[in-house]
Amino acid sequence: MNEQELKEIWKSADSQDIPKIDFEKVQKKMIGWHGKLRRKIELDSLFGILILVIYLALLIPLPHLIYPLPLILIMYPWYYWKLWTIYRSETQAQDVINTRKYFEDKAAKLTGFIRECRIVTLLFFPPVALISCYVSLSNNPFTSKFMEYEYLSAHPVLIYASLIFCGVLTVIAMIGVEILIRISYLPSLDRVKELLEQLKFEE
Amino acid sequence: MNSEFEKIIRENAGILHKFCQIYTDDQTEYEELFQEMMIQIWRSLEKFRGDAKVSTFVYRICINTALSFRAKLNRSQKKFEPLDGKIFASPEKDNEQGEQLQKLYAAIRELKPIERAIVGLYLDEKSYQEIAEILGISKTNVATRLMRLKKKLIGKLNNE
Repeated sequence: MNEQELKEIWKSADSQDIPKIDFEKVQKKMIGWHGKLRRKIELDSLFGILILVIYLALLIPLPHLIYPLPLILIMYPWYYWKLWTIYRSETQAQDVINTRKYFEDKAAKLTGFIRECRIVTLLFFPPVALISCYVSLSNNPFTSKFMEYEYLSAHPVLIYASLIFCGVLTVIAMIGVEILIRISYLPSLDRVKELLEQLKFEE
Repeated sequence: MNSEFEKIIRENAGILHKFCQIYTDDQTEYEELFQEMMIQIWRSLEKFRGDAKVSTFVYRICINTALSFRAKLNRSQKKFEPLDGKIFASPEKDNEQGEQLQKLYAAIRELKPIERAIVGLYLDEKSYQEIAEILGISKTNVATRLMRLKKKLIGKLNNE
């Protein structure tokens, strides 16, 4: 067998081997694919809104929780902006080099998002927990005196206890965020990295 | 469905079919990849400005989709879920030429993913320059690789 014969065998596929395509089914698959992507974005958005609604509902029995609310509200635009940035990026690359660039960009975005999620939790959660702890105690007639300066000065153990409590809450929040990252985003990042490995070849 | 899209698919079904054959191991994978290629062509169609030949546009999308598909399969080490409905009618493959074709597909499938693309394009009579442009690699790289790949492929088929 030589090169020409190889080409002839290869070309013979054009005449004898091509299956018939059912375009109606193809169309349904495409609509399904677009719907899946849309549903994923909607689900993430709804989850975020649900958490906000639960928090707002808690304001009715615990109105003093309004104090940490601005900090929480700051996080929402960031979170949605990041989600939108990740989901909207789709490749239109039409060669291996550009596809690789696209995936490098995607990997960088995901890595950045994961890092920022951790930083935001670490930066925002301690003040949110501290403010919540302070306003909860100072607005309760039974515990309000614990938050008075003179009482705190006489019982510094309360300050340490509050800080430890906030620290524990922060650790719990960080574990929660880490679980979320490991379930949702790290597998995606791993997939992109493996794909990049597949696309690497010697120039 | 967009008639332009349908026309492109009908006219280039051979490209999709052959590249699906060399990048998949069974009918389920084949159908999944064929479908994915069509989705990618559909999505990329509005961005296609006509500054390249339609077939070049189709080749690029098919190869990138096939490379991603193989990577996904290697990663997950599992097959895709079977489709809920067949979108293809199986072709007849019982003649001698069909048998040779299957042997050729099998020999190409033993190559690395990027090498399969190079061989497929070469067998479709693409020049080194065109292969280089479609794959985004240098012409020298194409020439060097092809020299080795042709020997390997012919040697394999002649030994069978």
